[in-house]
Amino acid sequence: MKGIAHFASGVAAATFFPWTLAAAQEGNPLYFILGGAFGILPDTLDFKFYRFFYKHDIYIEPVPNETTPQDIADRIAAGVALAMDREKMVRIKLSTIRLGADYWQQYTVKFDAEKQQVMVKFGPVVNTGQVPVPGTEPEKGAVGRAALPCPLHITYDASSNVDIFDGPTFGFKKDNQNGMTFHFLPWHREWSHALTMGVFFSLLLLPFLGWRAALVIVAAYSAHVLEDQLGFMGSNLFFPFTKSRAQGVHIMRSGDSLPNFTTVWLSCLLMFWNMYRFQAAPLHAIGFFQIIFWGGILPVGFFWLVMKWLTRNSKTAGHETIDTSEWEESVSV
Amino acid sequence: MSAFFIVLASTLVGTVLSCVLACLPGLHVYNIMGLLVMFIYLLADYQIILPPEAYLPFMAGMIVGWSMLNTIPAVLLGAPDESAIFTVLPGQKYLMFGRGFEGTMITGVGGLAGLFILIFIIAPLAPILLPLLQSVLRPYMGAIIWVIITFILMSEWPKGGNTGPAGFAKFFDAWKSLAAGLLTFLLAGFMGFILLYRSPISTEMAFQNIMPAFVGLFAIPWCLLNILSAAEVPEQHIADSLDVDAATILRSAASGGLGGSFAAFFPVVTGGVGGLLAGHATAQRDERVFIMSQGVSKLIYYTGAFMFFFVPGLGLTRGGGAWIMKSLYTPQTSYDYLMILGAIAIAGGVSYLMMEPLTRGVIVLIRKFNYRYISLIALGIIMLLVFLVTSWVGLFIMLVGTGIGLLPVLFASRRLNCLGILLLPIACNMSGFGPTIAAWLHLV
Amino acid sequence: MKETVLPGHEQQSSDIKCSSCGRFVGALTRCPHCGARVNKRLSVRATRYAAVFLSVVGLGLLYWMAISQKIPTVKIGDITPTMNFAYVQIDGKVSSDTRIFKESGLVRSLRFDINDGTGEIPVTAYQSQARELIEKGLVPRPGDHISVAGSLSVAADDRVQLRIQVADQVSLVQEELGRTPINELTSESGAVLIEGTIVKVMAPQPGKKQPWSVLVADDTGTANLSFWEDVYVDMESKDKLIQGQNIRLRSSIKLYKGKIQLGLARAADLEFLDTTLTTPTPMKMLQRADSLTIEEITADLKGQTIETEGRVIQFQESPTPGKAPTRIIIEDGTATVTIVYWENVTQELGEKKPEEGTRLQVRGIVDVYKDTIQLKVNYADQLEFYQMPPTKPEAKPDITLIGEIGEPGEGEVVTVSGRLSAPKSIKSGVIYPLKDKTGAIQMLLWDRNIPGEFRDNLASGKTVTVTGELKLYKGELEIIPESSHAIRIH
Repeated sequence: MKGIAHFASGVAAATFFPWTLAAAQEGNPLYFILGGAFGILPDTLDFKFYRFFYKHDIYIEPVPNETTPQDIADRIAAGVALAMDREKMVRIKLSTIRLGADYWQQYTVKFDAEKQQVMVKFGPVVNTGQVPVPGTEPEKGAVGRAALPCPLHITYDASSNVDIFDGPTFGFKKDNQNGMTFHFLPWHREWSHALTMGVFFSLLLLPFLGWRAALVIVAAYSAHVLEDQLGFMGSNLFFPFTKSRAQGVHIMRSGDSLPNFTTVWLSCLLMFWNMYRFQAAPLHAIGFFQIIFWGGILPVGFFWLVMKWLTRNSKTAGHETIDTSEWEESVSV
Repeated sequence: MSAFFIVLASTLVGTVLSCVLACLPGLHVYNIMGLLVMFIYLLADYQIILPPEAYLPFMAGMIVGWSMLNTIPAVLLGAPDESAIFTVLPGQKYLMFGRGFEGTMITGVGGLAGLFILIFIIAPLAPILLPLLQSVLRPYMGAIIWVIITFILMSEWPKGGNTGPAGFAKFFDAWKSLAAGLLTFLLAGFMGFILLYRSPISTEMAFQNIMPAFVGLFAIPWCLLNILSAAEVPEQHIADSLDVDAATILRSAASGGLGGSFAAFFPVVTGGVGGLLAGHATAQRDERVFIMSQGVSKLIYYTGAFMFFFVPGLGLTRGGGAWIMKSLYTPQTSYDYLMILGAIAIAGGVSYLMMEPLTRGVIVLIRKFNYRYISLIALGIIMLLVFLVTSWVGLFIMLVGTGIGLLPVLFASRRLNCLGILLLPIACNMSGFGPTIAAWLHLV
Repeated sequence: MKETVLPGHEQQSSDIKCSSCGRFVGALTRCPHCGARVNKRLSVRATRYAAVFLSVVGLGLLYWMAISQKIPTVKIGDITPTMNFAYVQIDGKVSSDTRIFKESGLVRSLRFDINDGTGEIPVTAYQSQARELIEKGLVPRPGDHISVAGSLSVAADDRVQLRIQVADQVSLVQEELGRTPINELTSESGAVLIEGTIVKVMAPQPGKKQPWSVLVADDTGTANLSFWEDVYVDMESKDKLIQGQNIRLRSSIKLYKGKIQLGLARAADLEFLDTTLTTPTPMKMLQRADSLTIEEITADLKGQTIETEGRVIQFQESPTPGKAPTRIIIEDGTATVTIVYWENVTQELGEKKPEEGTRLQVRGIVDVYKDTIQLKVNYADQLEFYQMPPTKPEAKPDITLIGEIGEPGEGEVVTVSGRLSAPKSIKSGVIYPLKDKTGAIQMLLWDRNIPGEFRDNLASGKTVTVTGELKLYKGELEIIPESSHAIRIH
């Protein structure tokens, strides 16, 4: 999920503890801040710290107007071959190709497990919102293909767009089935998204902030971890007792707007409910279901219905990211 | 003359005036309102008492007109120099595509959508909902501001560290932009403490303590970077229609409505912060939605905050406009609220109608005159305004603010961090330790 | 990848690309791909250095400027609306009791008024600042000389207040007061020192938010002292709060329903003297009854004990003692009511008989007899006579019909009566249209003349009689009363 969803749910989790609200009324925002900060912390640890220290075995840094799709495909295949000779995971870093302050050359890497090959294709130039820049759509361009030396088991999406900011990391590791398992972003949620890490941080700060803060930390951190389990990638939930990521339940994708918004909005309603309940003498009488209905179901439901009606006839607009699942045969460059 | 005609006339005059002034880059409506209030006091000294029906709708018209039309200079009057700045704003992207007219008008459509939300949804619900929200949330306002600060600081993403081998070099490269953001926030916050507790501006003009700093943080860097920009504005195409549909408008209205309403209700939270939160919450990628929602958010924030001041029985003072009004007028009855709503509705319609001709006019202007000269003139006007209100001291404060305001632009962090000037001292005050920090700094 | 000129890049300068490897670098000064240095234009470099310099050095200079300047001292009379948010110092005298507001036992704020001779404004301290003032013993008392710094809040209608930010910026010089006889008390007395004897103590009714009321007498007269429950709780010698106890009291003066009242804000300002003039007798602590104007006594209150006061306008001794009651009719300007009492009270009162014109305070039970509201008194101590010289019956003012008012002369004062319409706010005041059968006039109430509490009693539809100066403003006739006493609400 997006950072704000995790942040909001962390704060909402904190508001379930009465000392959070009591302290805030006295002017002490500590527990609110802890809820938000530890709600977003797992991703902060990965994206703002860990990934800069994560060593790779192969760095693929395409040069504009020089590097071809075949070059990239060959290098990826070489990385898989390298992994065959090693017990440890081989990590391949794919860099993005920046063309301007707001322009990125998109390329797509796709693994075909059936044909045991990797395919690479350049797409349009996209902006930072991943929206293609008009006029930069490729002609029927070359597709780079390289055979993989062994069967590949794919645990995430078979196709990855490499476009904005930091490019992805691919991990390849020998598995027990005489093949290779493909790991997408192996450094992400490797240890940071563990329930045990929440306990670790709470114990670390317990002597300084007290047991109440420790409980808030555990609740907020756990909320983040459990929310991410709703997705595809999953997390290593009990690091260091477990070694690999447990698959998610595949209900949603991290960038989907509806689940993100619903989480944020529901968190806000829960915060409001907790603050309302904590009043000594409420001036207004409202119930939980009234808040959820009038504050959540009605406006969101109304919006959803209207959107459905307005978009009933529309096709996918040209503003969506180009669907690269169709890989036509073409001549390699 | 009947009150109706006074209200109508003053609304129209205020709207038209602000629409024209909004085309000047860097000029903020609160600066003009501050001057107007001083003028009203001056008249009062000469026993000329203006009735509220004259100046209240005028102020409302000014705020609506400006919040609708200030997109024009933001989009059209400045080419982003990619050799100097790190981030190209969405409106500027439209400009560099030759679609500045479209970008401006899309934001205007957002403003119109915001007007409908304000008049038909927020205004009727405000007297019922706001007292409830206020009674529940008031004890926690300080904590909420701290939560917002935490999110602003933690949600900034590192801009560098995308190439090269792993290690501290990569880490520091990434964290340069984050460090710049943190530094900007802290410096702005420190400046805020100085200005709120021990402003060197004369006490007679204390109600404009923050104004020179805000001009320095936001307006001057904009003008300055335009003047120094090495980029040219491409030929602009005047589109016959806009590339928007009802679904886009609805998504923008929802996203911008949330952000603007949030900013209008919570103290210290500005439209930029509200827009950031709503943008993240609704996870919109479509750039049309993004810039349209900015139009929605801006109008609802500025106008809504002003409107909340008049909600009967609430006494909510949000936004610079309401704070300026507070020293001039105390709303008494529903009469005031309905009068302001009427003024807002009229002003909104008129300002939207003025959007297209003024946009075309500015496009013609930038064809004929180099946008750098326009920014230079605007810079001169703003500096003169600061000097007239706050004298040399204000100019110095503005200069310091300019230094801080340039940091995020030139060192790859968010301009939003400049809002530390208000967020940090006020959050500390709300939590009760603001005076302690001020005392520790020997400011009190 | 084929090279395409991207939209907008034709208008960019060449230094967005690395001169060494040709790749995009944007605003970076070192190419992240090949490591080559990227030269930026002088203007860009200079702006960067200037930004860092201004933000750090400039801010340092600004800070030094701020801490070097003295906090300006201002006069309250010189405060203008543009001084909102100003941090200033005011020197003056404390002109009211300090009210301390608590919630759940914790001090939330305190408030007092300061007068520097040019005006008077409230001063507040919140939360930790308020608690610190109390801990340091810096809670001002009426009459104290005070120098206080804080931030000004100036709102419309000239509502000004000063907010204390730091307790260290309050300095107090406590005023030593001389004794003031009760008969010399006026509404302008400010802080006073009274020495006297407790005549009566009335506690608040349980569960009701009422103050304690203590009647204090010295050899020149009596005065009512009131204080709230939190002050009573802080009293160390509560058992000495009894009839006959000599006290020394430092208090402020308030006007309550037109009567002078003593106010006690701190228990420490009430001193129980060692000597007592009379042997203290156990006295039943009278329950404080609801204090009402005569007009507010209605049949719905039948059976309830209430308190009121008024001037005697008729005294009817019982024609048949023991069989018929004695009646006293009193009025307070709003209405009249009959007080009835029986033979036992007459005997207790002895020679005391109310004369016409005497002011009388009564606690009695509301009763309805033959559709007439009465107050039944069962004990003599429920009647308090004030031996004030009978006041002359108020001369009824000549009421002028609005339609007959011509062009006003300089300083002309008239009295009109009529019904109010919907008010209109103006800067520093409110205008009520006032209509009678013959015409309409604008009743202009300036904030400085008519306090807010009185204005709250006015409303559209009410009938008033008002005396004030006539003025013509933009062709409209206005009547401007000088004080709330000039307005009578019917």
